Amino acid sequence: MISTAKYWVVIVLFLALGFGYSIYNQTLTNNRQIFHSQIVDLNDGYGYQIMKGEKIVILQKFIPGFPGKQKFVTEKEALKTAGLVISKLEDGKSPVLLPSDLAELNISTTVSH
Amino acid sequence: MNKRKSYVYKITGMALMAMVISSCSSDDDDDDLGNWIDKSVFDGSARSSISGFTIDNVGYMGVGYDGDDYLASFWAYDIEGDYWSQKADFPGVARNAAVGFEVDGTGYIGSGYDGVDELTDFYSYNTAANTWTEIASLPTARRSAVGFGANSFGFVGTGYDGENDRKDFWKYNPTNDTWVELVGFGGNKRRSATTFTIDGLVYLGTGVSNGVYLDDFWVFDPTTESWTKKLELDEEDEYAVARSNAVGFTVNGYGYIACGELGGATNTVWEYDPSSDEWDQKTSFEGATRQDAIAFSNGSRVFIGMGRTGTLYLDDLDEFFPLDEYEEED
Repeated sequence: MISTAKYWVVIVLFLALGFGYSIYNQTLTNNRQIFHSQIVDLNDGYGYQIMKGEKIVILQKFIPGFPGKQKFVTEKEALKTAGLVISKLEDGKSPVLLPSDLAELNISTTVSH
Repeated sequence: MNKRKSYVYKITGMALMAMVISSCSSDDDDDDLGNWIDKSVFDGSARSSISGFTIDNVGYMGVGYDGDDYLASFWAYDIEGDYWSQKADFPGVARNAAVGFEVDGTGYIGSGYDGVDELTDFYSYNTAANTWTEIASLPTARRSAVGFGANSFGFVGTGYDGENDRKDFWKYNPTNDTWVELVGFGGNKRRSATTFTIDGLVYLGTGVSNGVYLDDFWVFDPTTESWTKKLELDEEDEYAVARSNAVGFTVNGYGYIACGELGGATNTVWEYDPSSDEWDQKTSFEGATRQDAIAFSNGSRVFIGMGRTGTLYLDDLDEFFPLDEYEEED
């Protein structure tokens, strides 16, 4: 009986620690989130802009890297592409998107790369 | 306690001396006009030996080398809006040390080095459509050439073909998609030279061949297709214009040669006055010393960025105000 109580105490403590760490971690990443994205509605499609505070740093009216003026078909696709750019910037990497990045995100394009 | 006090005195003394020394050196800098303002707001796409061109108020840059990979991605910097857009990837093999120039509103990038071979292939970029089209290849492969657009033609010359430095020039005619050799350049063979264009005349200088930084300076008149020698880059004792892997640009009727390599990356900037054929030193580039950078200029504003210093590849961009007093704090 006593040993099961001890067992539960350990489990609860462990969970509390894990939960606390995840909250702490989240506030840490929130602090790092100096970039955010906004979706640009282009009537027949979508683009995005990457903002640093109030300032536009990248404006993407067309799918990056692709020839011509291919817009994102859905708001969701524009949003997840912008998300990848932001995660690259936050990792201190180049914000460039390669054809493989867009293939991984399953971005719909009318003309192939 | 006493020991600690003497340390404090020593440190204070050293700090005072450092202040005196640094204020003296900044007084010297005040002799040179020109101010720099950092425009980079994110860690961009670090690369060197980039190629590009400026059309209207947009600077285009692409290809290059980032220390690990040869690159094919291509970006546009909006001068008015101060933001970047990633454009259509360069369709040729990823490369560096290519040439880029503009002819009548169309951009061109070609030649260069892919890590194995010097290249001949060339492409035109339509800014309105965001599309690349392969054009006729340059008749002889090379990297680290100069390229410029003038009088509705493209020109490519000098460079390194994998075995030798070169002095030949080629003229590209966009109306019939052909290259024709252009004779008459009297300068030495070289690689990594620089050009700038003032009032339709193209000035060419700097570069290196067999470890020697060249001092000759030339002007090309595209209407007569003739080259004329100007005063040498070591004409005055205080001139230190000679270098390689620099950037050349034009602002408000003056030509500039900035940054580059001279036994290591440099950040010095020289201004050329075409009316007097004289050079004047300006405030050095404020960021890290660098070579193989890029300059975007629409004729009245200029931005310099990217490049490398040693094996550190850079991604920042600074605007240069050649007529302003230098201010360290902005």
